[in-house]
Amino acid sequence: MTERSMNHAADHFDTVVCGGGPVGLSMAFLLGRAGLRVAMFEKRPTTTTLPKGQYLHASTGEFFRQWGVWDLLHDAGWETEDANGQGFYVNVANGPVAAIRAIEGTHEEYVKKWEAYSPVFPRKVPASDYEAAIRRRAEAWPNASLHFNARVTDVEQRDDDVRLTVEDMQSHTVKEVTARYVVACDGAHSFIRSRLGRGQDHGPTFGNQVLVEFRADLDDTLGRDGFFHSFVLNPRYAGWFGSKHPESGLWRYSFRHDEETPPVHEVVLERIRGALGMPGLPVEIFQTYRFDYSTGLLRHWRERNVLFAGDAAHWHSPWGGFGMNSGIQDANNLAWKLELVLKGKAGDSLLDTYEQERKSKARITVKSATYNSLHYQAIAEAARVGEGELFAQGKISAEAQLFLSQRAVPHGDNAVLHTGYQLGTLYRSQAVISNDEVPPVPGLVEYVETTVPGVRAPHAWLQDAKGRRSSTVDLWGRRFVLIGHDIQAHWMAAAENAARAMKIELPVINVAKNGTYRPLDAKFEMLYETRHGDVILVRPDGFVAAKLRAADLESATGQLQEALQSILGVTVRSASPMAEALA
Amino acid sequence: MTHKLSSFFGDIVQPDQLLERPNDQRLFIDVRLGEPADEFKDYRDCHILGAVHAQIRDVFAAQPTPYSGNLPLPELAVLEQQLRAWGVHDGTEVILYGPSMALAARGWWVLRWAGLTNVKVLDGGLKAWINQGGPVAQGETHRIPTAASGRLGLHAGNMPQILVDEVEQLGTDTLVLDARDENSYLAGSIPRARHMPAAEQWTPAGQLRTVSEIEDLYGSAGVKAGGDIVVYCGGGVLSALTVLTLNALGHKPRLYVGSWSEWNKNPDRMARSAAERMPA
Repeated sequence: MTERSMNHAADHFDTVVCGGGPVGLSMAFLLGRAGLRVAMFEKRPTTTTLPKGQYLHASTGEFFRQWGVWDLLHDAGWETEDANGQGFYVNVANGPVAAIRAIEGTHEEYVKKWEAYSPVFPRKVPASDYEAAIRRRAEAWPNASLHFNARVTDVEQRDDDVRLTVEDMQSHTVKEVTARYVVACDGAHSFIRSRLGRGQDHGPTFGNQVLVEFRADLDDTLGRDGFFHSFVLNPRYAGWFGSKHPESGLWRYSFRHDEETPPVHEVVLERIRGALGMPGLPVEIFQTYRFDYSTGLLRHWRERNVLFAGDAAHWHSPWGGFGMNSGIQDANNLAWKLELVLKGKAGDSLLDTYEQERKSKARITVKSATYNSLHYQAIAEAARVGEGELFAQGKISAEAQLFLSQRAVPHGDNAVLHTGYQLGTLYRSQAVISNDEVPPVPGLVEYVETTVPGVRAPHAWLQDAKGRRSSTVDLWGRRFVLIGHDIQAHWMAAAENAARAMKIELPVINVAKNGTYRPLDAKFEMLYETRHGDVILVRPDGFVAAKLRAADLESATGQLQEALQSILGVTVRSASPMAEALA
Repeated sequence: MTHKLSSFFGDIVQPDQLLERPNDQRLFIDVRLGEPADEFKDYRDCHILGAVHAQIRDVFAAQPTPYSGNLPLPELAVLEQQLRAWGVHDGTEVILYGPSMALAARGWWVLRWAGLTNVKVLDGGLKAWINQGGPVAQGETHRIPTAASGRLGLHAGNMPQILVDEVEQLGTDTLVLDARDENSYLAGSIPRARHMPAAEQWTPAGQLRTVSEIEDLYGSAGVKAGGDIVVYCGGGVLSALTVLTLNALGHKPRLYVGSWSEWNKNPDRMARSAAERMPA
């Protein structure tokens, strides 16, 4: 090997991930786990320290559980009771005038309720904690290299790969790397997108937001009330408080400020005390940030060998906590497709299903986040009308209270939790084999459990051979899985045939009284065996690829192989020795 | 769409006409004149996909001198350097737009004056483009510069203009149109100028009014077929829009680029302005 080609090999990757936020880190983890040579470049010196992105959906928690990240977060984040829903105040000292609770009852009751839907539950965890945890798992793969202080300054599509220029932000040295594929996870202001993107559609901008981190003794007021967000109606102090950070002990106060520079210290102090209705309270201001939230959707998520994920493809206001969650779903959808294409087991067209599947969800996401922003503004604005005199006394009329509680009702617990959004995703593409079942209508609020092809393969509790309780969700991630209740023997052989022909792994999980896994309740059978003899093909990302039914080995092999060929976009010769002899 | 100027004048174009005819040799220029940092931020927040940012003071004007108007014409060499940095060559279709039609028109006039022929103003600008489903982008646009061998060959004088000395000599057979707003006009104007505010030619949504509406505006300002017309404003921006629409209607106006900001630098001219007001 010449020196030149050795250099080339050292700087050539299967995939380069641009951006090291939650999406880029997840991408690096997943591609690392797949054994691919992956490099991640992030311009910041380390994972985030910003107070943002705290809402961890159950759907994201399920991946974290598969990745060993959930365990690392065991002691992180807010206690359930300290981060519960949204409250409305005239000022904090006078107590809430309306509330939307995400959770009724204790933490134990909350976890119990979620156990029906998921082995995990939605939580509030600071981005700094989960980013560090994903990073730790990603860095464990020797074939994955994560580079911080590394800024991508140029990108060029070539015939078979992508060339990138990367600048080390500390030494200011520049190097070139090449990659078969690039995944742009570089955020709402994506550099890669500005170079290669072919157009966007924009929505409203929520500009001039100021966020202040401060220390004050509020444990007996805001802390006792336990809302995650507390909205202040008094127009002089309009804004919201965020709950106390579980580690730093800092509170957050955010408001709109239409000036270039943040307000001076005295003004911020007066504003915080005014919103609290506690004029003499000692308040120590730590940090003041300024944000603008714009809204947009990228039109084309793939430019030849470059794919866009997370905020680089869809960006919006933070209300609803969709950003990080939908971005990590993007990564989980894309990673297995890249893996199979790079390993030569799938055709390039499989990568096109990424945009088809995830852009549909992103359209829902940008609309919902925009609605959430405008809708809380609308409730607060409407409640304020006609209350001027009363604000001065720190209260509102009975009519205003009634108005607020009536507006809050249709946005009750599930509206804050977005259970339907979290678990009710439905994909339609070549990588899903539809049948004649009608899927439930995807909604933000309600989640309907089903195994119709294209949905997240639902959670059911199982017991493994060693008697440990596990979830169906724990079975997904690294490969396709054929799963069913009391599976007939011909499916075992058919899976072996198909795996051999497609050169992929395809374990069969037989959930039965005497199987490798035993159902812990009736739910598995009910969901996974809608008709006797059905088996379900689950994709590596945990989504139902196909529901199959066959009476004998030949038919089972044929169906399975046809489904896999269609999903992977490849044609292989029949595994049958007879057919091979005739060919 | 026969009620639109763009239906019979190729230098004004509708968003759907562009979207129906993709052209990889098309360059959008987002033309601005406000506070440079604010304008650049606004451009970065949202612009037509592929558009470059042009501050009039930097691209479509030269630095003013103590005797010139606010926005004198740019040096050709400087303009050419900028166009080459954007990858413009003789096959490029240039589309100008901006927060107002007048800003785009200034860019159009300067590029036509410098000898480019395929130059158009987008009717309604960014808003009309978005409403027609046109793609937009955030951030900055990266363009590959024109090769040294690429032809551009700018040469001045391809649009009729009139310089201040000649404006001073104008007789009564020339119609002088002042394109500024009413307050500016009332505060002082070139002798015998008729007031014809350019801003009346576009709707609150920023699109050009219909052919008949614009014809009526010119009719009541005394514009006649074949007549000699000179247009000015404060610094050659609003008046460029007037020149654009007059051209579309078949007139051959001359632009006084120096405009009021040049005229008012000379006490003798100002004395004439005070003495020779057009009767209201």
